[in-house]
Amino acid sequence: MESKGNSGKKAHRVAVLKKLKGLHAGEEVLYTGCRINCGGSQCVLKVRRRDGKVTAIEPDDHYNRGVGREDTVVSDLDLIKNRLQVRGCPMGWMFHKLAYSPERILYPMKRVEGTKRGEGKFERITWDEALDLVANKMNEVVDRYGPYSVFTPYAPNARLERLFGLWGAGIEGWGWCSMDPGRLAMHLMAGVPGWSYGEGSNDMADFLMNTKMIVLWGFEPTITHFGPGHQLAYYIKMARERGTPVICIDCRYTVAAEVLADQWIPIKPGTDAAMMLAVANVLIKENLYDREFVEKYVDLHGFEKWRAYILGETDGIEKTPEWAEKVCAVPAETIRAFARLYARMKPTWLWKGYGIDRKSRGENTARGAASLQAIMGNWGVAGGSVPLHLRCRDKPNVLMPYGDIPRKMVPKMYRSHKWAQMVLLLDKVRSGEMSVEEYKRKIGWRTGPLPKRPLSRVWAGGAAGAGIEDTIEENGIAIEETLPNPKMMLWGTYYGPGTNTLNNNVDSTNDQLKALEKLEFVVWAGTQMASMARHADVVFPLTEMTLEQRTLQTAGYGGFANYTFLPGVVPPQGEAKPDDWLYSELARRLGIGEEYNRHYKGNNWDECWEEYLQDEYRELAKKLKKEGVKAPGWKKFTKSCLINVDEAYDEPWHGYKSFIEGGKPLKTRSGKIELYSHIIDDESQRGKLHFDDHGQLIDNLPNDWRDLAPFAAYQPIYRGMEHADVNRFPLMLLSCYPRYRNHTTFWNIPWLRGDCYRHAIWMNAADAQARGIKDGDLVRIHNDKGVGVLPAYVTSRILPGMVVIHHGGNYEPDKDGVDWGCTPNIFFTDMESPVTAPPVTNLVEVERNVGVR
Amino acid sequence: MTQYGFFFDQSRCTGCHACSIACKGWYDLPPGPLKYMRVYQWEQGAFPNTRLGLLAVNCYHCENPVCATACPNEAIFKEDKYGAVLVDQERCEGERECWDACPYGAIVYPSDKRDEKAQKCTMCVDRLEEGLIPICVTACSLRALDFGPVEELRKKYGELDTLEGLPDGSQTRPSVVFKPRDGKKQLIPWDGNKVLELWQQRGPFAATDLPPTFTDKDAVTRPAPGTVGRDRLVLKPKTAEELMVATRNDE
Repeated sequence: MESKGNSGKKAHRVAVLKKLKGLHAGEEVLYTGCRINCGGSQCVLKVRRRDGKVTAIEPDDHYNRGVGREDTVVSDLDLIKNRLQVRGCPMGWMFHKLAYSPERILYPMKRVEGTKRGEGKFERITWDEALDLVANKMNEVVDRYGPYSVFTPYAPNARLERLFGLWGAGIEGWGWCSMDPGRLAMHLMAGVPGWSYGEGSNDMADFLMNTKMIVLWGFEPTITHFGPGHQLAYYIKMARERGTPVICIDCRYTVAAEVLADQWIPIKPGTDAAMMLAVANVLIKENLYDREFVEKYVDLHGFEKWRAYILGETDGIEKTPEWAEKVCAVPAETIRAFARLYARMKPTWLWKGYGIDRKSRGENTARGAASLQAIMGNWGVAGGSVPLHLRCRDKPNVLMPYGDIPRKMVPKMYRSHKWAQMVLLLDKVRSGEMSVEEYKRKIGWRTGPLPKRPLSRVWAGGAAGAGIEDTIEENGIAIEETLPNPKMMLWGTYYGPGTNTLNNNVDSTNDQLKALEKLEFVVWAGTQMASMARHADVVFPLTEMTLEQRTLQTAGYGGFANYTFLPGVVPPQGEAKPDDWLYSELARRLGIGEEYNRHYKGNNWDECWEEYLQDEYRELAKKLKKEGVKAPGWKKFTKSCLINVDEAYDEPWHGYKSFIEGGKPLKTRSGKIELYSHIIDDESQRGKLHFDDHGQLIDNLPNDWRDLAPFAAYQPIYRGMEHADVNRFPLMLLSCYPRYRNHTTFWNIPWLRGDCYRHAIWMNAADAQARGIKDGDLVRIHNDKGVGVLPAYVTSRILPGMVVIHHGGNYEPDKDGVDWGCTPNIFFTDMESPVTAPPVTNLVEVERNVGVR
Repeated sequence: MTQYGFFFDQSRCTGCHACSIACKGWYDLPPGPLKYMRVYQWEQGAFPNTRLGLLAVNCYHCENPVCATACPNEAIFKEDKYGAVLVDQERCEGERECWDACPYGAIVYPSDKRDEKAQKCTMCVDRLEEGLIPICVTACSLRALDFGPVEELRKKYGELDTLEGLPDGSQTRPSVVFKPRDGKKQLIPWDGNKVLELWQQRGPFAATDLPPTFTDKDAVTRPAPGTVGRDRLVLKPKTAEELMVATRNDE
């Protein structure tokens, strides 16, 4: 080692340290807010910038800077005030990889003439060309095919809604995917309209400090966030460390079952409502429920109806634990013991994952869990929960685009996850094979007599100011029979849940592809070259919001109440533009520019936008001040990027306080919690647009609710483990949320997929063994809707008869239509169900022979 | 020199990789086996006693760094402010003696090619110099990690220097304190065999003449060897591919 002597060695070591320390030296440090669509969107990111590019992203450090294990240094008051770092999830550290990814859409593009949709051959065009092309096409299509010919597949896209509303043409779907059964239940049970954030449940500090037991029912907070990060999991773990028992009821042995829970109770997928009813049966028969609470706060007429059903007085089947064990495979003695423990551990924080509602007839689990909490008196009290809508302290919303959205002016003709059926089934209606009533029933029609709207100035033959009705009646078509006439699809925003519609909308991918073929023109806007982009005729490039867009945001969900600011820490890549600009420009070309965005006159976007943001912020600051929250000045806010609303409060928060403690009636018919809905029990109501007793539109209820029960009942899910089709397709497929993607977003980031996770199909060892499959084998998954290929994850964490494919795989078909990206949506189907619940299950078969790509 | 070190609470680790991804982001490491922080997930037992093993392992900057001793080129050294064990890439000749010596698998390489140079966790010395703490620690949502002078950590969290599946610390004297994972409790009676019997039946609403959900109960409770993926902890995978398998989950 002569040549590498001591002095050389020392010099080398100094060089090593120098190089290491120089890595991020001299970089600028900026904050921004995460704008992934996890439901929380509350995390604060600390961005390192050098030469106008992001080099790395660090976690938040607004509180407890330099502290790792924060709970060792903070007090309970700090926990109530959320004086904690808002640490993100693994996706948070990868936004720059997303912004600079090779699949990033940089320029407006037009499909190359002569190529097919899906081939993905595009040519670059200018923004002006793209905007003119799309606006002209919108006018042309509406001109030729009428006002219901341009549509957006999914709701809500507030910007498109506003555009359609002001333009006077265009239709859209109703409802989201994530929690519509819960939203419907909230309206039916508590009179809180589905689209409002309404009353929430109990915040994290509340269950940490006030609950006696935690029940995670199909809820996996180490994966689904409802933000920030896995903060809910953190609080649940701290509660367990403080001695609170935790039970996890789930068809999978999840990470939550391992890390957060004392005990795991496996349950057959889709049968949760049966167990809920049996628990209620024990509570009622053993007189363990909170009679006083029920008499005071629950509509007794409805309670009696539900009680009679549970005791078998109405259908002759008593919903005993013995009845339920055969349905859900949870032994009767376990159900009975659970009910007794649940009654003893009062209040219990019971939280139900949104996933168990996302099956046909999932309305039953949403109402079942909330009904249990109601009869146990755990609703609206410290330490309890209302397992419908997880959210934080009440706070004003921000950035509803440019004032009120004329939402009601846009007919919501179909359930958003039925958009392909809306297109495809029309052929049957036109050929007389299907009646108009049946068509409306199938697509979840949710609209009344079509509203009187100003006739757009762009329609040929129409006099300005005349109503749609006049025009249509002139053509001899009665208004009731006016159906969608879909010819042009307009879709795209930042990470909207349905952004990559083919993968993310619950409708079958293959049906969506067939529906796309029927359209004359498809427009898509987004950030990455996702599968939906390949099927568009025109693609608009959008900014990567977390890093490139200047905006402020809050979320109605999650555990923390905060506002974050996104300063736009780096300029957009290529010619990417914010979606607000895109839709303002389209509006200008449609002649409604000023109505659409009063701030923008077609020049100086940045200045107009800044003026708008500051206006909004001034309004917000005023509202916050009223609530005792001091908002910092604009300059300070745009640097610190965080307002922590919880700082202003000394007590944990829970919803429904004004009802329980203040005696303020709920906006239900009885003014109390309603376990039973008189609307659903009234056949004369079927087929109408539904309003509650206070005149509020019930947003998440289609005109025909099909076989929705008036209260939480057990109805076997469509095509589950008991269906005759298991002879052909023996495995029940469930699609759950992934940890490392938000829908498809981050699918193409190799630091996540392939590095820390594998997109695989979960199957039990017995099912694998019977098919000669070992972990890691590529397997072919198929049913009557589609074919896909994935590696097998062979595990004892699920039981036989079921398989799991996580949501948001990218649709990547080969020439035979076999999906090698394997989005579970290729296996979904148009199911018989009350259609508020978006079903993400079906039956499939799995085999070893995959063929060649 | 004050020896700095880590605390890892296995009972809080969800295996989410926030630590490892934040580390890769900070050090601009490529996707693949170059993992300064390795997050293992593996399965133990089978139904009705399934457990999930979760473990995040970085370098513990040992008081007796056997990797450094093993290096024929003196390329690994203990930095003298925080006690971080660092690799001098200029001196490393890729002989992998350090990899053989380290019982934690802390030395990593970009690939299996023989001339790749050793890399490892740096204790984020660069961040320490800025008054920050290692990025893995700040990234953990469940606050399973802590960092500080190791003596302070021992006072705060105890002396445990090993976990099930890890080597005991007597030889290398790692600068780390551990807390093991939680046990399971039966809060309410639950009979796994009864569950299997119930699960095997299709249920009261089943169509007629359906086969049982499964036929071979043993295949559920005692899966054939090699069927289940990651059925053990492989702390020191021998190849890049094995490392990827061991440190990748399916969530």
